[in-house]
Amino acid sequence: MDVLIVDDDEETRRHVAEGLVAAGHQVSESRTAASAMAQASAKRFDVIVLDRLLPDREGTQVVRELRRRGDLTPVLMLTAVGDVDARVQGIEAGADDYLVKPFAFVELSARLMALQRRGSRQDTPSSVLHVADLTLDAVTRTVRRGGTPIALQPREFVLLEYLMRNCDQLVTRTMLLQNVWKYDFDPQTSIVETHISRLRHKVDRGFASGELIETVRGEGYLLRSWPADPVL
Amino acid sequence: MKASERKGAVLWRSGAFRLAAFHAAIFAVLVALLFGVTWWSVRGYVEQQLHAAASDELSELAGSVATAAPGSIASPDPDGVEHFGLFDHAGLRLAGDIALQPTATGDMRVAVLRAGGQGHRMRLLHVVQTRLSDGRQLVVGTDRHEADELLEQLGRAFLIACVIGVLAALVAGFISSRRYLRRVEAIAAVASEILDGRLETRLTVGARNDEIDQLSATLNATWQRIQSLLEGMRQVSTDIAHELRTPLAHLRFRLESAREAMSPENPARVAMDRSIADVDHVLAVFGALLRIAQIQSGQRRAGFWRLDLSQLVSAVVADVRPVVEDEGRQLRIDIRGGVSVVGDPTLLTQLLVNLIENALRHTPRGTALTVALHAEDGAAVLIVEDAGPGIPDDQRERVLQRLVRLDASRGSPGAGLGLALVKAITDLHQVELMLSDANPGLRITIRFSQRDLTEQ
Repeated sequence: MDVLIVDDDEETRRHVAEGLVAAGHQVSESRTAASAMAQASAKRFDVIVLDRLLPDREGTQVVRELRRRGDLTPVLMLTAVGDVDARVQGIEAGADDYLVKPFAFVELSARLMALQRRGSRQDTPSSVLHVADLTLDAVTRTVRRGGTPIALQPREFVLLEYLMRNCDQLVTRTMLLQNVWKYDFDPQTSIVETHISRLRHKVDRGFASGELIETVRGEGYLLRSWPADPVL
Repeated sequence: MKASERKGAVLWRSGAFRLAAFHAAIFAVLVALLFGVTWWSVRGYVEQQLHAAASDELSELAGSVATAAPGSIASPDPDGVEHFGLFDHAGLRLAGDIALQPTATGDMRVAVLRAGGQGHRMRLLHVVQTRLSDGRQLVVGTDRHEADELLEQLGRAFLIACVIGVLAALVAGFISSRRYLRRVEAIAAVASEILDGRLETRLTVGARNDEIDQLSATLNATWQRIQSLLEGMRQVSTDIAHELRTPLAHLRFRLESAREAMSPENPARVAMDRSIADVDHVLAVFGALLRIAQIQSGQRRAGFWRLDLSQLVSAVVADVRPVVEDEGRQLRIDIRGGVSVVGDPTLLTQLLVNLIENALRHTPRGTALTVALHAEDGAAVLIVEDAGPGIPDDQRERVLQRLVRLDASRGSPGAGLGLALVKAITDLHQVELMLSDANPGLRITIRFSQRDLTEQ
């Protein structure tokens, strides 16, 4: 994966670059909006990590400029702690995701993977999803596993849809809060954990074809297209 | 009826009335004093005149009686002012219309013969008498009736003047002090607005530059000072959080890099993990502080629109229901449909989530938690009620402040800021936030009476 990281804070750039390089990705770095624009027009990146506050321009202006030029490279916006309007402004400008600094590297890489996947999928997202023997129809709002219909609560349905669209990839708790619940704050209650546990109960328990939803300790969740051993 | 009674009672206790009554009382005392002095001197003069008239009459009569025969002395007009009597040394009446010889001089009731000698009547006379050289006693009495009437008339006139004066003083005093005190009431109204948290409210200072204007100016300056001090305090914590964001971010990045560089068996990894968790805790607190500060700055209001609060509350309740039930509480809901408000959906969602989290944190397992929404007089009313220990009366204001926790538990990050964030969100939406006793438990009522908010 080819990543451009734009941030005037050297520490952040180095941390991100080291982690990504160690994971086998190519990384380019920029300190200012101007050099970022130059790099983005010279080379096609898979994803751009862009700080909201750059010394010469706002990150949101950079995204707007990229989109205006027809560059649809997925952009992950980095925002500061406590910045309430960051999400709205970033998304309005055309960013695809946002992340509050500082972040765990796992959080960043999970989001970059999701963005890269979305960016590479050029066709319009299909309304019927298949993962392993699980089928979800976003139009009729029905879920089946191996032909057995599964009744889900509305939020459980959205949660499963998100997991299926990002199958075989790590999905963090914050990603779920942002994308499934549309919360830009972190509730102190175990709202994600509880819903995952109920969803797992309905989707995984009692099916001979194995367990699909996996918990990655301390990092997040994963919906496998190759199920683990069945749980009966 | 009740309202007018209450108003009457308020009028009775009002400063304007008291001031007016005080002035009227002073006026009454002054009038009484003036009356006393006048009456006393008029009365003295009248007495003197009476005595002089009687004495003149006496000496005149004494001259004529000494030379005339008793029978030739003419009887005075019985209805007139002057009366006299001539008595021998044994007290027998020789002439005049005074029937019996009075024993002394001065004011006394004396029997005066009627015209034609048919009986007598009692008159209050001022009596003087003298013994003539032949031993007979001459008595002259002046009727006090007219003089007394004059004094009485004078008293009545003073009383009427006094009553009218006191009433006029009351009314005038009331009107003038009312005008004055209305300005004091305006000051009190602004002061209570400031007490309610609208710190930017100020008094209008008039051009007269009288005492009230000077007071208003001083109060405005005082409130300006309080506002800047409060903002300064708020700013300090925000500034600290802001300033420490970057070094903390660097710290977290380095800790994470260091941990990644360790072998999985390295026991120091546990310490690393704990350090990262601590940094995350600090960042969560700072994040909440900065979020509150940003909400308080009011910029977010630009993103308000009319939204279906019934839908929003139902969605949040559906999301938290499994959590609430897994934590061993009953969730009761009473949500009426079609209730809409003007606001920011994300913030209102956080508000409700925070209230429910707060209730979960402070109540024992097995208790019930109620979320209710209805419209009252066109205003949406959202109620979150728990059946826990509640909050003592005097502590309720305190829990809305930042970093205040009544119990000493410092377990979860961000706790102690939850209700402060709720307060910041309700302030931004200009809605009422009330904490009350649910007997037992805490009831939090949010009333959306947003008159000033324009729809956008």
